[in-house]
Amino acid sequence: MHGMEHRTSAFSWAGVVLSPFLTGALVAQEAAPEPEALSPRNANYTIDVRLDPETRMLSGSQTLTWTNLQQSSTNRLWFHLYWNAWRNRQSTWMREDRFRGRSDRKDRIEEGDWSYIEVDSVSLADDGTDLTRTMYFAFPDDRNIDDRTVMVVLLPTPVEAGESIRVTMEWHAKVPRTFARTGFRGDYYFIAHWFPKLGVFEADGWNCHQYHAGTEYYSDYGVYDVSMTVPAGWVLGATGREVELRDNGDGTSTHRYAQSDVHAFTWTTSPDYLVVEDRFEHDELPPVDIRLLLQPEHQGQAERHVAATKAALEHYGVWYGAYPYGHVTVVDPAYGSGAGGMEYPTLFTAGTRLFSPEGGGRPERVTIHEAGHQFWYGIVGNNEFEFAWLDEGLNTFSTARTQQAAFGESLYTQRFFRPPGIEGSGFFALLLEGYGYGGQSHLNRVTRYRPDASSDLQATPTFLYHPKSGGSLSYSKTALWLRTLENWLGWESLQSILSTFFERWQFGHPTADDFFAVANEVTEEDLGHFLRSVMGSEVFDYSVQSVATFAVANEGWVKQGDEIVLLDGSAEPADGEEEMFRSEVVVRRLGGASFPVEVLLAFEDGHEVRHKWRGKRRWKLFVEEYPSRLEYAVIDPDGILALDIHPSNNSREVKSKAQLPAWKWAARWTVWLQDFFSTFGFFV
Amino acid sequence: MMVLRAFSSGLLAALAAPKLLLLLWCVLLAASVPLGLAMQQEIADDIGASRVHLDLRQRLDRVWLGEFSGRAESLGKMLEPATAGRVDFLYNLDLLFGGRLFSQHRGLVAAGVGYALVSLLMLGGVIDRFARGGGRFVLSQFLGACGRYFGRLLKLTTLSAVLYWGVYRGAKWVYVTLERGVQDVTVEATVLRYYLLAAVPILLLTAVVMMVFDYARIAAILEEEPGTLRALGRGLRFVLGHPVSVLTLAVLVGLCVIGLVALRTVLAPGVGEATALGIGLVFLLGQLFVAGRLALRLTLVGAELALYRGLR
Repeated sequence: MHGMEHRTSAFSWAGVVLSPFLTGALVAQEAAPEPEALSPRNANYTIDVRLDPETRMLSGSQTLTWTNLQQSSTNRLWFHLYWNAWRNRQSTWMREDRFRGRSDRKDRIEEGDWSYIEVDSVSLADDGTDLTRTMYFAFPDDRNIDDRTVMVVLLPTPVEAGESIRVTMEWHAKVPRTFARTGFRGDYYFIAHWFPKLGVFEADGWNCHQYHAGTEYYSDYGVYDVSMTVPAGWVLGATGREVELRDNGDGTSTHRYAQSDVHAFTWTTSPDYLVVEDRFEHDELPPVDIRLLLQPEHQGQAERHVAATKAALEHYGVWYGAYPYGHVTVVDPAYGSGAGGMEYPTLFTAGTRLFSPEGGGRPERVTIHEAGHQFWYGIVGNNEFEFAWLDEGLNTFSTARTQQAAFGESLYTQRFFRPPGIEGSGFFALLLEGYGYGGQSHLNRVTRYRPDASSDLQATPTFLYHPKSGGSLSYSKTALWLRTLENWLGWESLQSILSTFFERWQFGHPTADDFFAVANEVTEEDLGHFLRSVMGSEVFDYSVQSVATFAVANEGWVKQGDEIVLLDGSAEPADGEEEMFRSEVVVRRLGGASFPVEVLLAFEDGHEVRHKWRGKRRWKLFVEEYPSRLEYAVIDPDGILALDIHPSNNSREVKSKAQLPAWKWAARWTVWLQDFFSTFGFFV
Repeated sequence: MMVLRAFSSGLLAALAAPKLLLLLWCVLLAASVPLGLAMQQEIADDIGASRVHLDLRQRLDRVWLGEFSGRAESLGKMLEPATAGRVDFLYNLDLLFGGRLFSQHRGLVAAGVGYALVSLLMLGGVIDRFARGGGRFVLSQFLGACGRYFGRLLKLTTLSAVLYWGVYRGAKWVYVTLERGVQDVTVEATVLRYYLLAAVPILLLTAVVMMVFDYARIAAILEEEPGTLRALGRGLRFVLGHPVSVLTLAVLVGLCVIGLVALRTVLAPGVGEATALGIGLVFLLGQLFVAGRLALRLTLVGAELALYRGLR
């Protein structure tokens, strides 16, 4: 299943595989030349789909043109049928969802909430050969015979290396009440991963995983030409640009969208969307038209969505590489739809609430993150079933950096009014000052990472992570080790790694090894030890175990001149001599992983000494004799090792000063407690 | 006018009973300070000699808070921004309304229930004292009255707890049903409106239960009615007989509580730098707020007593 053909430059694929019939159609519509191919374009789809809001059904037909880019042949095609994940409780997705500790609606799935996708027919487009009877379901990951998220079609003749095949399919699907950000709420529809979608044929076979609760997606790049028929008057947004809008005269309209060089196609429709249009412009980057589909009640937050999108386009663009599509659609999902915070090519969902006070970081953070996925996921198309950390981690790191640069630190938001029996957070929001992350927003990831730090080896393929804790590794741990690399190597080096990786693998499918190779090549250092460490499950945790400082002993036998004299400890330093103090600091490596660190010894007179420690042994003693007492010691004083799971034990003072802050917070807490008790008094 | 007279009578009764207020405040302080000290010790132990104290002097550093919560075995898990800031009243109110008050830290809930029982014990003395028109505060006399009426009040409160539980279960059913009913509504403001509307009858019902039992307690003491059901009947008859007056009085006192909370929110200092003076001032302001709430509770009791006497 696994393996990957290495590609040296995505641009070398330009013109290798085209979809002439599609290209021609688009040229005709847009009266503009089809841009040079950015990607291999070996999985191209023409789809007609109709939404029936009454029955909440989709009926579709599609033609897939696929070109075999590998050196080997194949006599079958593997397809994802994602929506069968929510067909019943026996699917792998539903079984794994129970382990996540959170669920979209694990206990309350009503009859109309389930979904399915049924392929009615498959045939070869060129000669009409019917392949329907050759279809079967496969379960490559867990042998769950009840899972129907992977379908295989047998071909009458193999597709040889470099050959193309055209396949037509008819299918129908039931739209779910939202699972995994896909589905309906009222007359709001968000339609993602909705059609029979080809897996990726790799050097050692088809890579087409079952749909898992904790994983996302993986597909080849191609050209999409999709016609969506929805009720007339409804606003529609989709991957790509609208090239045709046709009123069918029967109460429906057909919106035709097209987009090249993407690996998925997603759309949304609702009669309620407000459409806000804006444009990103930058001296060094190509312009991008921004189309914001906003819930009317969030009209006052339009500018915040746009500003966050522009911040992402600017910072990611400058840091990594330009956004090439020229347009992006930002979707503000309907309340309660569960569709927020998800990325799709040239389209993403943000997510906000009616009350989202400015300064609280919402919707800015989620908007930056999902806009950022246009780069890490959209343009660099890693296999999210196996290497989710490549896009989620790189993007989480970049999100924090962008947010800090564009908006600064956000305040803590406390939400209120959550009626009995209602899950989620309250409706009203208040911002609280003084409850932040110490000016280092990336550190919030330590809090999320710590509980799951050893739950899996990070090198484990994502679909094998524990469904509950995998996200901590993909998102938080990766962001933290990237932050560590930035602190260690410097931003310029890390940026160089990321931008080189981006340039080399845009419109390609990189693996972990590809990233490591770029990192080693760009830095010209062997990062192997560090990268091997972070790919494991051992944690980094350094601490200052003890500090001591005392006058150098003037007791016992000492030689003074030619004499050996016995001192009793009472002798004062001679005139002109300074009293010397011996300071001892023991540092300890508590975690299993190691990293070179510095140890800072700070003295009462302001003098500081730094020692380097390779950090491999379990502990090390540092001793200084200096004419001032030691005040404190800090291991990793510059906070380079952002992965350290317990930053608070990285420092130790000779005299504890914990009392005052402890009183401060305990006093406040006591007042809360009095109010808490008084609340019980309500019943009396 | 009767309501205003009753309110002012209650207010005067509360103001004329500083020793009573002091006693109630001391009880609350005695219930909370040991736990506060335990929290202080737990925080100080966790900080130890770490230089994280520098951050914590300024703000409740949430990276440290995450570590602390992870290590804490008991009370420490209850330290969070909402329980260490000026939104504590709103937070607790939200816990109460959301039915999550009793699902908090078990030890604190047990202490809260204990405090409620002590409050109940003292309520008998308070009503008795107000009923007798005040006079010199004699602790033994007060405690004697507390003991004399505790049994009656406990029975009534047990009954009220059952009714409150019923109201909560009903409210939960209403909201769960409502949530399913609005599962196709795509506008948060609409859902919020429904939820707020649903809260009105729930709060009204809660208020009715509260008032019926308030007046039942008054009847049990003022009229020396030992029978729980008979006292409840009197309370019910009184509330049903004078619904506007009873409700108006409750709303009046409720508005005072809101005013007190608003005043405190305005006056409450920000987190700021930790200094002994600052900590003392924050705590003092908190105690003034707590004392204010207790005074308003006394005002309510005195006012309800006056209203009961005036309209009976």
